[in-house]
Amino acid sequence: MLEGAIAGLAGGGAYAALGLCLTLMFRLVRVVNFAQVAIGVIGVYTMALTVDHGWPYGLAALAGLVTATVVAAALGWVMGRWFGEAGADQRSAISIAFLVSLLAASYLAYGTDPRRIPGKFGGSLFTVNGITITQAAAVCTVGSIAVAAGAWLFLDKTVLGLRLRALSERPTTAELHAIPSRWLGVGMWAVTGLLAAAVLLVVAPQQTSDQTSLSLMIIPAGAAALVGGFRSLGRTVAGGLGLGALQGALAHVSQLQQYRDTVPFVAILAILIWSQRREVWDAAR
Amino acid sequence: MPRVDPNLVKRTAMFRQPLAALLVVVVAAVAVPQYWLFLATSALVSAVALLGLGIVGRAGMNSLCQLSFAAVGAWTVAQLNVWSAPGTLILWTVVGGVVAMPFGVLIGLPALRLRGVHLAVVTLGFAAAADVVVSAINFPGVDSYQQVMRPEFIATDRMYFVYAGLLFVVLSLAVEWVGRTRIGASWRAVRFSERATAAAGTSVAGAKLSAFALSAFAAGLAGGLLAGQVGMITAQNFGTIGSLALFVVAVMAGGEFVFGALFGGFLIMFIPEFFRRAGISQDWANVLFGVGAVQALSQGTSISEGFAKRLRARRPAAVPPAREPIGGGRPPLGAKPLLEAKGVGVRYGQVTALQEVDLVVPEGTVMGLIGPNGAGKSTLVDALSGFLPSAVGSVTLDGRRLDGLPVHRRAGAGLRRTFQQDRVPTGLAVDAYLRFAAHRLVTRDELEEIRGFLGCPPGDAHVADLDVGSRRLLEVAAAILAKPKLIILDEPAAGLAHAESLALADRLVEVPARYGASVLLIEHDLDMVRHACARIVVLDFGAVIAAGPPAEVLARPEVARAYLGGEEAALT
Repeated sequence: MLEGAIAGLAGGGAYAALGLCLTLMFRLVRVVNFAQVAIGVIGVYTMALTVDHGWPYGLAALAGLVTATVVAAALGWVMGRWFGEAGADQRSAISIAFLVSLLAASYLAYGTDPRRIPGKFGGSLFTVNGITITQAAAVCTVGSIAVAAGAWLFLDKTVLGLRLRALSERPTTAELHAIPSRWLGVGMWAVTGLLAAAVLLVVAPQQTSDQTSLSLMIIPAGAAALVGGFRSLGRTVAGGLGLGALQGALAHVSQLQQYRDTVPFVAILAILIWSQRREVWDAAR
Repeated sequence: MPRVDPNLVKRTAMFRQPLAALLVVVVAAVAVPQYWLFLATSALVSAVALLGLGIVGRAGMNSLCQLSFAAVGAWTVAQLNVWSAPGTLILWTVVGGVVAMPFGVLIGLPALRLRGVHLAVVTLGFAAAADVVVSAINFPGVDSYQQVMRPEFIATDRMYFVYAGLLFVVLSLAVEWVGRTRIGASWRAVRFSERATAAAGTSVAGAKLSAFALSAFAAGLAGGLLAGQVGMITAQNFGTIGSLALFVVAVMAGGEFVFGALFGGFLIMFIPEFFRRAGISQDWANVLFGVGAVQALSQGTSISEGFAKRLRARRPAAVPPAREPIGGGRPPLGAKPLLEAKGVGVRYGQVTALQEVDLVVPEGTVMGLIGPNGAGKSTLVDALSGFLPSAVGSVTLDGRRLDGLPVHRRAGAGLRRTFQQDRVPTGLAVDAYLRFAAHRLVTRDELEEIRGFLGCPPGDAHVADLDVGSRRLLEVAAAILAKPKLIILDEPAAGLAHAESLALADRLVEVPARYGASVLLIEHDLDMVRHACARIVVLDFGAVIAAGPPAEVLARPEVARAYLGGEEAALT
């Protein structure tokens, strides 16, 4: 069971990192981006396609990262252009439309057959007491913590971070203070798109790799972000890692094995009902 | 040209779209070639599911798990088929819808606390979890290759299409009918404001859960229809992405409208086919739906809603003339206590918003409650009407204890309130709102009378097209129409011109004698208060500082101090 939990950390680290993308997006550009992982999928499949065409892995991965960044920036531009002052609910509904469209676009561009996704982190790092730590698990866990720390430093200690926080509250007011809100928003989309693609480059080779199941990693990622209330970076990481470990552990209980993917839903429900238990009314007054 | 009776037009409005849909189905049943029948039936299946999605949409909620409910319906039909249960496919389909309803209620329960994005995340999570479970358990009869059997008379593809079409028409009639009842109005009201819905005496939980239950019922029907159509169902029919695509199409086409649902079903099935025939990949369809939904959201309306709005714009509502003050009489003082509040207190953390407030509103009078901004007037209204469960003290209305009761029960007991903010649901017409808020059967004459009394816009005008002042009057009219014992009006004149405020004051003076209700008026417009009220109570820093006849109270120095901050002057 412990072995399972540790093996689950690879997925957990990915949930944590993707959850961080969601939290940052919600805090800074007021959207729960349902298309976040789908953007990463575009990057990974671009990489796989270019490798098939004989590109070296490094160059292909770079191409994948650039593609994901550009796609994310384009979506961010659409969001800023037409829905700049819309509320979080409406912007999130739009991201659902983005998800459906992106997934279809990815089938158009890369075909519907699952592809072999080449990866660099498949091997084991070391083994202690018969428990193997995979490279992917280590990279994802350490990576998500590093990203959380970096994001915290950036938002709390830099001028640009402060501007982004100001922009998130009231884009128009921020513009009145000479903050180019639309372009900062686009930048935010681009950075989280890049991050999502990077995460998937590490974990996708180990996962079932069809576009739909990869894109739906948005659900456990969303559960991780909910643990942090779409605010706390630290708790998002903890939530993601915990969820991954729990899923990994359940994979070793044979009766529950085939239902382990329902864990995110149960987690989401429990967290939300607890955190929102006092929200009896829709408006404060 | 003969004139059509407008009442007849109104009464037949609910049949218009379903009958048009029936016409489409009949024409299609005759005209569609054999090859296209299967797709056309699938379009109807999707349309049924979209109708259901439209119901939660009316209530302002997003559901991303419609196909999970459909899977429940399909599973039920498959199981009944394996058991060879009595009643044939037709009864099984209805049973499938009914079985899906508890699942809808189950997902609706979190919606009592979760809204917007949170609810979307939960329903998406449910869709994915249901996908996992459905894939794991397999549908009944699949392992033994047992096809779902259709009865003889709908065995052919053409007859099955007619059957699906009739089911859609019957369901759309039901949805249109329920949409015009108080339950349907409560969905639209909840979408606009939960607080106002409860204050109108309607349970918010009931509104949300009924929307989810009926939506799941429609989805369950769609699942059963699909099971009968394809005979052998698999988990692939009910994937998570399918639910998402359904949501996106509902946003784009407008599932809240019968024609929107039918059009959406058509799009889902025929656009991919169109692309396939043109030699283009079918995946372009979902790209197109996504773009269409983004376009619809950027316009703020779905295709159907935009169409309905344009139709409406061609016959704009007549604006009633402004009411002039008539210098009406004085309100009676009233003797017998109606509302008695004792020791009402509210604390927000360390801040005391109200302390030990005692208030008696007599029967048959208009009483004023005034005080500077932040004095605690609205907090007192919230405490009296039940929005602050943490409030201490006792409240009795006509001898009945109200404290401890939820908002909609206090409204039912005869305490109505209005809001400072505009809380009239924009999705309804004037009369529909009045009927909903009245919470009792009202006659056409009563509606006309109250609209005439306060000078409200005509009954078929849409709330969305009204100015703020008219909406405030409408809210007052609705509160009066409910025949409560006490009406608490929270700044009803905000948004009215001065002359109109005075006209409203004149009307309020008449309310106790005419409608049998006392009025507690909270207002900043002291002219209006002076006109309308027999007595006034002044609140400052959460405590009562003065009470008595308006002229006398407003002349007191402590009242002037509360308003003007230290300056020794009388408020005259």
